[in-house]
Amino acid sequence: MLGYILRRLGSTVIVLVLVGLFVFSLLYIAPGDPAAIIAGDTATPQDVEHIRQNLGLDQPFVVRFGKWGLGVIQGDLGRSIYANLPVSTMILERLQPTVSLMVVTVLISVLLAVPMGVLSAWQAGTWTDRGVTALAVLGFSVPVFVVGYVLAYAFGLKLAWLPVQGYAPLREGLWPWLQRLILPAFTLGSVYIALIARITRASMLEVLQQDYIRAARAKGVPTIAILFIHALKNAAVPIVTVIGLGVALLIGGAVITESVFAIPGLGRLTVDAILRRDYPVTQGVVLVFSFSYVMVNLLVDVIYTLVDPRIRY
Amino acid sequence: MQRRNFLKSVVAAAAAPAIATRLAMPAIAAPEKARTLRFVPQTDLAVLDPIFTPSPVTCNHGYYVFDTLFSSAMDNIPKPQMASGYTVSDDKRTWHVTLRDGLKFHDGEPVLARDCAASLDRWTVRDAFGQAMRDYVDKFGSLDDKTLEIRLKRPFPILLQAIGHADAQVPFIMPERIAKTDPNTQIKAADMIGSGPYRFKADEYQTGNLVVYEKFEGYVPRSEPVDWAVGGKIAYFPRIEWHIIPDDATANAALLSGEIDWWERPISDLLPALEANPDLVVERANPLGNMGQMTLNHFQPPFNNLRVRRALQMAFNQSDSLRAAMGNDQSLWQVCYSIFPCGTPLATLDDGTWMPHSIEKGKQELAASGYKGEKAVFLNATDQTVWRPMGLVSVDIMKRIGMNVELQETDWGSIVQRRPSHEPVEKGGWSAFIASGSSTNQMSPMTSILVKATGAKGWYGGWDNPEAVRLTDEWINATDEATREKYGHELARVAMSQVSCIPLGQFFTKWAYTRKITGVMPGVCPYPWNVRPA
Amino acid sequence: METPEGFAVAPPLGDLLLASKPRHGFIRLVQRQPTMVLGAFVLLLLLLIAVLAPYLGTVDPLALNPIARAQPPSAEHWFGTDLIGRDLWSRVLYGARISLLVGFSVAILASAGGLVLGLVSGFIRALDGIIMRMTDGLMSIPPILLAITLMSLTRASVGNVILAISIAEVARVSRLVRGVVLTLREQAYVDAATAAGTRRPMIMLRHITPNTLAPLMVQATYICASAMIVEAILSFIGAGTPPTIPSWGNIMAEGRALWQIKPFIVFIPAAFLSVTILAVNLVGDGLRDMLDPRMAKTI
Repeated sequence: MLGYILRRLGSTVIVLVLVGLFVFSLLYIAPGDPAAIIAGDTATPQDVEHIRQNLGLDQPFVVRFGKWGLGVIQGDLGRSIYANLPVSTMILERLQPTVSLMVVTVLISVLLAVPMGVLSAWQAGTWTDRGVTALAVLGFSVPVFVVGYVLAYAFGLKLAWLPVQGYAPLREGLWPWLQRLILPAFTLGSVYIALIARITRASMLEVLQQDYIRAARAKGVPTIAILFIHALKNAAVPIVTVIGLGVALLIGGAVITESVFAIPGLGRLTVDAILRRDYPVTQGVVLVFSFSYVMVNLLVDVIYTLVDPRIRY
Repeated sequence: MQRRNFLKSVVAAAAAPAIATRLAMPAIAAPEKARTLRFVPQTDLAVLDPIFTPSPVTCNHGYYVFDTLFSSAMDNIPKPQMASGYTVSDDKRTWHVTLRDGLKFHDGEPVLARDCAASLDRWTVRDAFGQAMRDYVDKFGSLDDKTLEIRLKRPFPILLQAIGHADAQVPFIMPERIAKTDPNTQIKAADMIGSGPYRFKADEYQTGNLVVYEKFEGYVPRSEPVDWAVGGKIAYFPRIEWHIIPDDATANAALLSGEIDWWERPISDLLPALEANPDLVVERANPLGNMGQMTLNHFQPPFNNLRVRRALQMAFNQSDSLRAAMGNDQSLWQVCYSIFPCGTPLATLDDGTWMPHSIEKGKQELAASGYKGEKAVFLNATDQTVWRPMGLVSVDIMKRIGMNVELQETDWGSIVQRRPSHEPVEKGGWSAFIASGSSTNQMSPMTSILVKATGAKGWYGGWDNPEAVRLTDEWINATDEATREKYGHELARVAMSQVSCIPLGQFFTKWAYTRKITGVMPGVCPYPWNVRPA
Repeated sequence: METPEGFAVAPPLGDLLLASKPRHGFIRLVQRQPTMVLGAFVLLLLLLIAVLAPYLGTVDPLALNPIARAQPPSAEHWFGTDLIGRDLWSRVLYGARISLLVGFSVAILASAGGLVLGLVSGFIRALDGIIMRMTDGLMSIPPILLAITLMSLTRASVGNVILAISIAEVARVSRLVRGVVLTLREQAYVDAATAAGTRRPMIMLRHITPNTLAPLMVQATYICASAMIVEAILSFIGAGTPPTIPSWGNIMAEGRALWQIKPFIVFIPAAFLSVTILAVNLVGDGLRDMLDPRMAKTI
């Protein structure tokens, strides 16, 4: 097992290098000159050139990539062109909100979607099944920002149950932190819930047809126990896969959710950086995302072994 | 069955605290909230250094943290602010400005003349007015700790107007060691030390999300009543938070639900609903507003031909363009067929000779101009809510007078990157784009981009006109106000008849705030002084 | 209970799964996959709308009339007008073209690209490692961010949007195809073909590819749905289809600030988009259930 993990980590390094090269190259050839944008409307071309030199944007590709790469190895992701702050500082600042949002979303989604999928599989073919499935597919279909707007309007403005925007760090209290994450989590989770429910249903369907389920029934095991203990555990592998892969999806949706609910997270930081041509921030964040994605996948693979004893590396 | 009930009870349990908290919130939270002003600025405060960037939101931030030697209000007459007075030598080449007593920086250090000298020196490198001034200045120095000395190579009569400039870039005063930073490098957040009424809290600053200011107890306001940034700037709120909310609908909801107090720039379509709300006040932010202009590329066809420019200028209809940008509410825009903004001293209204807003006349002029169908490329910024509709109307007008025009819509950043190009349109060049500026900047020949006539060394588009350059010089060097105004009007006439660019009229923005605060004053920026709980 | 022969037999238990009665032909299809047929029907309707847009009472979707901005639905403008006075009914109907075009094009492009990559990767061991690492890398970048970055490289156009989203989706398809190839490559009939002297490209074409088609088709429908959403999100951020060309994403993006007072500008295209994606998903689900229900356990 340890050997497997080590091999995977080695693989990760190669992947990250490729990602870094890819993103860096993309941004290098991108049109749009951050020096000109930041210099402002009344700057002369000499000013812009001066700023460009200060930012190191006039050097050749290899030099810039080399500098950046060396910095990354030492933990220095560069400096934001706009905010003049270290990229790593900015990322750390924004990490808590995004991670909070993800965690709450995953929790809410799994707690809602898995039972939905189980219910749907158990009642397969009936209108309950079709209803739940349709509800789940609706989660895929409605764009994330529409869900966000509707929830914010209904629960934030009209009913005034929850705040419509903003983020409160955990240190200000559990409830302030949670209350501002509920609407965004449901918004972000709408796609995730649909995905998990669908996969749960499919996986459960297959498992429920097995003989050992019939045997358990014959033994008189109560239905709830059959569904959630015997069947679910065996159906878990694809469900766990999806939960892991879904994190990448979540990041995409997080970008919008953070914009709509004014959460100061990584998603918003990245979109702003890309559109403003703030290269160091974009590169740094994409690298961080890739790293997390790969780590999450590794975690998922390890969880497999816990869930399904037949899987061995 | 059990599972469903379980789910229901979970939902109920989750909702109850929310309702309870919401109901309990007003009583518990009120005292704290009354001491913090929550403001939503027009855009993200990305750059903190007001000398490095002319961006209006950074200028707003500058007014919180820094103070100025002189400042002007709407009448454009500079009045002392940090200064207590000034003298000019007989040969008019040496100016001495004395500082008031008791001025301190946020780190406790007193404000000295050398701080002012270094700050002004840095300012003159980046600001338009400052750059012009640099030609006249020999040295910024200090006579003693409380007297700033400006030695000139030749007389510069409008020096006070320059250093009393109220709009970006404002010559804010910083400590000498910080002012010595290269003007082409940004000052860091930790070095945001000024002598203004509010202190910037670098430890609570979250980029792209939250900016926090705290009242500076060591600030000594002047005794006169306050008007714009002139007079006694008295700070009331102990703490001001800038919440950056990029999504307009979210900011709207936040204002309505009481999560924020003051929203700098609601988009014009949301204003009617806000105006109808009895708990909110909606009023014009800057009485002079902003002025739009269409910048034309004088380096390449078709606009290198004076008569083609005239044709477009004759056909251009400011009402249509302003209405497209701002809507039907006429308190938000004003037609102004003048190179300098209406309501300012140098406004020179056209009598219909050059801007009759007639498509017919435009067509005739185009036909007589020798235009052979050369392609014009119009760059339009999709992410600019006001400029974009203006651009679309402009392209429409161009087509109607018979021009061959291609609309290229991109984000503003790409336009900024393309506009220095002098190439023909086939090689990625451009013919026209829309921009706007604050009227307080566009009202002076020193800072208005509509009258910059130094060709490639001037504004993008490169209008080259020696007569206009001469008139600008005369305006600077005029010895009395009447003569100066004469030259200003003359300059406006030249710019209009030679079509330096096309003025698009004035538009205004309104801000919205809750009736729980009062004392909000109109001006160039949303000033934090005078604002207090109602 | 007792059988006639006298054996003790357990009472018949209701199955955990309910049984269904078999029928034949089209009725059977409708009975077994009612949602899929519904989805296909809706898609067809939308296709018709998109194609026949000029004849369905529309005006030029680009014609602006700023005086009539943000009007609610009325007799003159069936869906109202947008922020610069363009007729929403026309823009939404023409918008169907873009959204459907983006969806289908991305599905086809990503599938084709992924098929080639997956076949090469699965079959030619030498290239497998590199391609795997590259697709890993590509997949680890969130697709939205990849699409935004790619879009920021070029001028906004429908073609570029299609390309950007396809690149973001290709990696997943190639993994799927590679998986199938790896399984099939060990099969006996492939050995037989190789022994008979069939060259590798022929094997790939004749034997492997047909087996990848089923999962590929299902995957393609999901990609189609995903592409339409991504296009909407890209437009929402301002990095999508150029704003003059009406797409549902664009229309929503432009009207978002007024969502609370003029909800129809966002709500109507949102409804159209949701219904379309729902339809595509239903078709995909049905295909998957018909072709190989086991695929339901993967995305």
